[in-house]
Amino acid sequence: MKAYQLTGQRRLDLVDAPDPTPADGQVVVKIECGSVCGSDTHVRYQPVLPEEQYPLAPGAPCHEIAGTIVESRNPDHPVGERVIVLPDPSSAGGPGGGLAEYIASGLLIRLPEHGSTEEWLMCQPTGTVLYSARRWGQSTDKRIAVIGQGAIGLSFTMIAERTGAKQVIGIDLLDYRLDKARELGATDTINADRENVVEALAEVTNGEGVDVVVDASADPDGLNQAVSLVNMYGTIIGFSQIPRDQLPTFRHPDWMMKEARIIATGSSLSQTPTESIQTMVDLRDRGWLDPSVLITHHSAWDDIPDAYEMYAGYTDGVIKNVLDISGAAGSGATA
Amino acid sequence: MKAYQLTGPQTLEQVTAPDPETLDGQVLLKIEHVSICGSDTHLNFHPTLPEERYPFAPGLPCHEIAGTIVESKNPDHPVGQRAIMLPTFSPGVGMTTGGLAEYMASEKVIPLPDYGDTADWVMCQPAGTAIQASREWGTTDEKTFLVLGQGAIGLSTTAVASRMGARMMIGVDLDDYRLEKASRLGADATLNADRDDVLEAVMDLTEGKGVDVVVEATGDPDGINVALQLVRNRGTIIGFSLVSADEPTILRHQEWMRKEVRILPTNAAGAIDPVAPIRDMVGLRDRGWWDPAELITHRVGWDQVQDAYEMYADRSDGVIKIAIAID
Repeated sequence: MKAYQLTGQRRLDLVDAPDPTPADGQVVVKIECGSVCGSDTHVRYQPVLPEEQYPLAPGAPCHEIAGTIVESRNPDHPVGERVIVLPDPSSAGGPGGGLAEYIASGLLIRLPEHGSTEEWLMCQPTGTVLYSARRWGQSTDKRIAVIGQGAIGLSFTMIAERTGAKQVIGIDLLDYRLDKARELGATDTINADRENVVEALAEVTNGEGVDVVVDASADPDGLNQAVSLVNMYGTIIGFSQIPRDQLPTFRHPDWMMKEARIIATGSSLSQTPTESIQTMVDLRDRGWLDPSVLITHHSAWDDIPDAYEMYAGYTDGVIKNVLDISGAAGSGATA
Repeated sequence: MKAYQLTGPQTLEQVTAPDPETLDGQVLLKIEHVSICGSDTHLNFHPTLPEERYPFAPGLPCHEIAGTIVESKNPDHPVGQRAIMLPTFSPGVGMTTGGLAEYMASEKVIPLPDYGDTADWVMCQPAGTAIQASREWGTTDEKTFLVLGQGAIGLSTTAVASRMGARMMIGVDLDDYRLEKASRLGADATLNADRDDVLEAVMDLTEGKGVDVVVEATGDPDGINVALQLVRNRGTIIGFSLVSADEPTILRHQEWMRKEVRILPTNAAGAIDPVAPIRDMVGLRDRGWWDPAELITHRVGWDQVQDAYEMYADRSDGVIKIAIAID
C-alpha cells in the first residue's frame, strides 16, 4: 500500500509499505481521511528527534483516522461498517498511522450511516477532550479558562459552554483563534500576546477569578501559567503533550501556595480509549455539539506534506485540516 | 398592603397586611410576578392541615418571586434594581412571609438583567433548583438519566441534563401533555406510567442495567421506591420530592442495599447558599443557554390567584407553570 512516513525533521516521504494483517479481534480499515493533531506536529514532525527514531512507522505521525472496514476478524464490527479507528499498540507490526491506505486495529468507534466521514472524524479530537473535561466535574458552579484555542482548546471551550459553565474564557496568542473561540461559545477572550493575562482575567471575571484552568497550550510553560491564573483550591486540567527535550521548570511554591489540584489527562492512554470518542459520536448524532465546525482546510493526498507545514506554522488561519487519504489510490507518485 | 393568605384548605383570601419592615442588609421588593410551585399546592394549599396552621402568614404559600427594589438597606442592591428574592423570616410578622403580596423584604437577592419581563425571569427560580440538583450528579455526558415526574421541576431537570449532554434521557409521568413537553425539551424516550410497564421499558432501553441517575420529582411518597427499581447497581437517585410528614415512605431497604444506590436529597431552600444556583441559572438564561420561561403555560392576574392555585393542584388545562402578575 501507499503511505507517507516521517524520515527526518519535517520530512514526509512517500513509500510502499506492506499491507497490514489483522490479528484476532482486529479489522482492516480502508482509510478515507485523516487529520493533523498538534501532537503530531510539535512532538514528532517539528522537533529534531533522536536519530534512531527515524523513520517513523509508515502512516505516522497521524492518529485521527476514519474509513470503512474491508476485512474483519471481530464479530462486533462487520465488513462495510464505517468507523473512526485508533492506532492499536497491540498490532503485530506496530500501531501504524493514518497516512496510509490501510490500517489494522481493534480500537474502533462505530459511525452512523449518514453524514460525511470527515465531519464524523472530528469527534476523535473532541471526544478526547470530553474525557478530560469530565475530570473537572460539574460545570455550572465554575468559571473556566482555557489556555490555547487550537482544535483541542476550542473543543474544551465548546464543551464548557454546553455543560453550563458560568463563564468560559479563551486565551491564545492568535486573534483568529480567539475570534473562533467567541463564535463557538467563549464568553470572553484574552490575547496573551498583547494583554497581561492575570490582570485581564481578573477584569473579565469581576475579580472572581477562575475555578478551572485547562492547559491546552502545548507550551512547556503552560502549566506554570495555569498555576498563576487559577483560584485558590482550583483545578488545573493538563492536556498538553510536551517534547522530552523541552521539559518545563515547575513553579512549585506558587502551586503549593494555591493548593491547586493538577489533573493530567490523556484518553489515549486510558483503559478505555474509544469510550469518550464513541460518546462524542453519539452526542453529535443527536445534535448536542458538532465538532466539524473546527474544519478550516482540506488537503489532497499529494499535498499532505504542505498540510503538516501549515499546521506546524499556524498559517492561513488553520484550525483543523482534513487529509484526503482515499486519494492515495489515484495518485501516481510513489517513492 | 394588599395580600392573599391561606385561611383554610384550598382557600386563599384577600387581606390587608402591614407593609413589611426592611432590616439592615435587606431590600424591599415591589413584587411584580410570582409563580406557583408544586410544594405550595400539595403540601400547603391542597391538604387539610391541622387547625392551628391557619391562617398562613400574608403572602403564603408562594416563594417564587420577582420584582423591583424600592427601598434598600443593602449597598450591593440599589433601588431600581430588578431581582428574584427568596422569602426570609420577618420579625414583625413572627414568621416567614410570601409572594402573594405587594411587597416583601429579604436579604436573599438574585439580581436580574434590565431587559425582559420579570414573569419570564422568575422561572429561573425553580429552574435554578435543577442546576443545584445537577451538581449532585456530577458530570453528565457519560450517564443515562430518568426523570420521574415531568412537572415544572422534572421538566427543568430534563432540559438541563439534556443540554449538558446526557447520554440518554427518559421522561416518566402520568399525563401525556407533560410527556409531550418532555420530548420537546430533550427527552429521548417518554413513558406513561399509567399505561406502560415502566420497569420493563427501562430495562429494554438500558440493556437490562437500569439507568445511571434517576431524578425523583414526583411529589409522591413512593417515588423513591420506584426510583430504586429503575436505577442501576451503584447508581444515583436525586430526591426532589417534598413529601408531607403525614405520608411516611416505607423504604425498600433491601433493594437499596443490594444495588448499593447513592441517594442524594436536594432542596435548594436548605442549601448553604440557596441564592447561588438561581443566580447561575439567571446567568445561563442571559447568555441563551436555556430559557425556562418556555415552561409557562398560563399568565394570570391578581384576581385569578385562587383559580390559578386550583388549576395547579388539579393539573387541569395542560398547566405546567403559571406566571401571576401582582397588579
